[in-house]
Amino acid sequence: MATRAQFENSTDIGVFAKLTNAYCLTALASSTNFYSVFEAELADVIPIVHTTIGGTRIVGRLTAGNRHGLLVPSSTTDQELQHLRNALPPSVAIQRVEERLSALGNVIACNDYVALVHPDIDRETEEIIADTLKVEVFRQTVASNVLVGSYCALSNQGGLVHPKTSRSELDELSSLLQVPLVAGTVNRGSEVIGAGLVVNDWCAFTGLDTTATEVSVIEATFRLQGQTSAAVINEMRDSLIDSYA
Amino acid sequence: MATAILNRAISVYSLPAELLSNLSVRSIEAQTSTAVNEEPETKRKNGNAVGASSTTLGCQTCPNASFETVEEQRAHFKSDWHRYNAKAKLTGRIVSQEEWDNMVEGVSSISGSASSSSSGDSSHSQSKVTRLLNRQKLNSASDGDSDEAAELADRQRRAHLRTAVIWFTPTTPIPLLSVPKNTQFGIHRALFPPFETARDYLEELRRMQLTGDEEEDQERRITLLMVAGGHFAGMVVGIKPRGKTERQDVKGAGEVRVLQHKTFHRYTTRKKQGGSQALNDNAKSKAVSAGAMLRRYGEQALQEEIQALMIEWAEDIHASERIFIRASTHGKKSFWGYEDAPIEKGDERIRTFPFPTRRPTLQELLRCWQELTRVKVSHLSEDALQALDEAYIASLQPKNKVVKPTPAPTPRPTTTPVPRISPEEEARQDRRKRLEEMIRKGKLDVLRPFWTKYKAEYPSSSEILGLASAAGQEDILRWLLEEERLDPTQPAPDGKFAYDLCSTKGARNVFRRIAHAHPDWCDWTAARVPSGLSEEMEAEQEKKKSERRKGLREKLREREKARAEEEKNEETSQPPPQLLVPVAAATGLNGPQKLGGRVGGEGGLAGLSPEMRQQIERERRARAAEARLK
Repeated sequence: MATRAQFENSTDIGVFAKLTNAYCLTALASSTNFYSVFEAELADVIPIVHTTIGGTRIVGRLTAGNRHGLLVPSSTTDQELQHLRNALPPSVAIQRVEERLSALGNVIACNDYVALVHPDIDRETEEIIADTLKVEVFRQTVASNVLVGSYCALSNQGGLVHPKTSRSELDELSSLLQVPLVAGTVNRGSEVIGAGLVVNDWCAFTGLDTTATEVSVIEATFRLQGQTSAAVINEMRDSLIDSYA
Repeated sequence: MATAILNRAISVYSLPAELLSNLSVRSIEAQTSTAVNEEPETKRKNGNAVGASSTTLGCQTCPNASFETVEEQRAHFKSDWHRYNAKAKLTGRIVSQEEWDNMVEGVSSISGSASSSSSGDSSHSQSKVTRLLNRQKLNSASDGDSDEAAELADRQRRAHLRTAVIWFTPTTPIPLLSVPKNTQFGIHRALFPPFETARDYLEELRRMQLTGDEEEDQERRITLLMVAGGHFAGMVVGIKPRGKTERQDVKGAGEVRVLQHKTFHRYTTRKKQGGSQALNDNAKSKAVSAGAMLRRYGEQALQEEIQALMIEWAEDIHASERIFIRASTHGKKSFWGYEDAPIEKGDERIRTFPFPTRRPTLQELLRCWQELTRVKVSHLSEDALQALDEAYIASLQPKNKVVKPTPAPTPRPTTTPVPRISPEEEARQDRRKRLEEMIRKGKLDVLRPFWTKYKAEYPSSSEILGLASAAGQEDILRWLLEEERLDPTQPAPDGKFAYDLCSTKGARNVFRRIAHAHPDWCDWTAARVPSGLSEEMEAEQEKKKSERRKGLREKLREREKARAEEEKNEETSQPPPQLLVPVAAATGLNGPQKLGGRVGGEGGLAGLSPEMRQQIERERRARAAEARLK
């Protein structure tokens, strides 16, 4: 199920939220409308954390994570780090990363098994990504863009990438990620997928401008339709049970 | 016609068909190879579009990479080659597998690249990629390419662009024309349009040939123009050779069909000094001598005459395939840039003579024509050619020679003269280098997890401690001593203790503070730490120092004041210096003139004449005798 949302009149919700199978981060806003949208969908399943990163609200672009861990940039303050440690389940490892490319959300795109990263990223950071998020790391570009995190959204079910990605590149990426990929847009034709869409294995949130066609593409790509209870039990069990184990 | 063509001069425009069909271009191998590389890739792309992608696993970034299985493909994506290309793609300089191998050869410790699929050594192979990339980046930041491989490619490209002659070789011996295999045919590049690839040259050469069709061949012509030192010579030549019956009014032209020709001379150059009058006028003020007037007039007249001639020849010039011009910048004004000029400045047909030419005369024009349109023939073996090529490429200067920043001469713990070391060993060395770097740069955050992971690899703590103290990284030193509890009493292999290696006082203070706080941890005197340093002591020292500084400052001020006063006093009390000199001279005369003065008894006799000396001696003896007699 894909839900439309907006953050204080901005449809780039991926900038202000981070969604994984084990937790969700949302930015502090003047009202709780944005938070409430997430709460309505996820309240009983995973923790939703109100936070800032380094005093900014662009938590989605500054952090990268999956159900195994969360990476935050070096600008994160100690209080924020402590708050995150308190709010997230103990199975999620939190790590501060000293990396020149500090918008980790823009330079890292990952699901629970594989991460695509910016070709320029530090060797140390690459190791930290592999260790903390427990993923296989590939330095890649998406449609000649180095900001892989901005131009794709991944889950364990599928992925949506930059609309100008060629067929052959799609094949290459999907053989790396081992999930089907689709080139598409969000927010009425926006190519910054990462900014317009946050997704995990059973739900997705997109910007308010996203058209019905785009939503249907998203639902098909990430296999979000027809989530009956049986489907929930069968498909979601892995991520749910593991995260609460 | 089974004749040996090599015995006589061959025209570029009438090569035998047997030869033409068998030729290949020799001198631009660099270009042909890239052309070949591109082909399969485009083919693959097309294949993918059709939907045959499942059968061919490839890599979008690396040229000519294809894999049997997905595992192989994924392994490739972790290989150095791919990582390098993923980065290099952004700057558009992708390397093929062979080029990559060559590049890696330049970097020390290579053997791991073949087995880089295993996750164990992926980290160290990564460093190689970064090293190469960094090198590339450094260079590209300064001038673009002087990385060895790129440099070589660049030189090849430039060599290719620079050679005046393009060489063709027959692919097989042609017995019909008695052309052996090792034969090269050279044709001036100036006759071709500026092509990039080898195939274009060959096609153009075929297209250039005379067709045998009378009408069409009659029309083809080339214009040669030269102006220098007041001489002008111009000629329009038909490409088709002159028939036996055709009239020819140029002496010694032989088979050359000269359609138009003209020479002028005007007095323009300054005798003895040389150079044109206009140049001299521009450089200095306008000369007013009679000669200068004449030359100025001559220059103008020459220019006007040439311009008139160009307009007259306009039809022939328009029909020309190539226009060869020799002229100075000033002289070129005669050819374009005026009303009705038949040549435009940026005309694609314009060439300069690709060889030195002599004074512009008709005979010289004919010689140039022969030189340009006759095929040069040489017989060199493949090896000799290769050697020649290499020598030439090596002789080219790099574009902008940048002084490469030589890596800092850090003392490497293990020398690597052995070209093949095991991957594990290599990984360890790499980790070690990284560890040193982290310590030197004071990256404690990164160092902490790294140290816990690989602690076991470093049995000698002294080296690590020494490194930290030499770098003066106090945080790291404190962490190593307090939390990791490394032993500072062990000397490094060169016999020095960590404390001795400290480069800054701050680092030494770290040792002393810890020695004060935990005197029981180890024998601090054995670690050469002189005494503990408590906070009170430090505060006291600081106070003492500030006091001393204050005292010093006061003393300095007093001294300054005293000196100022003294100077003032001197100025008022000093007598005029002229008076002092004669006094000094007078005292000098009275006192001993020699160093040491009178020493011995007969010291006074030294400077006297022998008679005087005898006299004094006699008197002295007499006095002694008198004294005895008394």
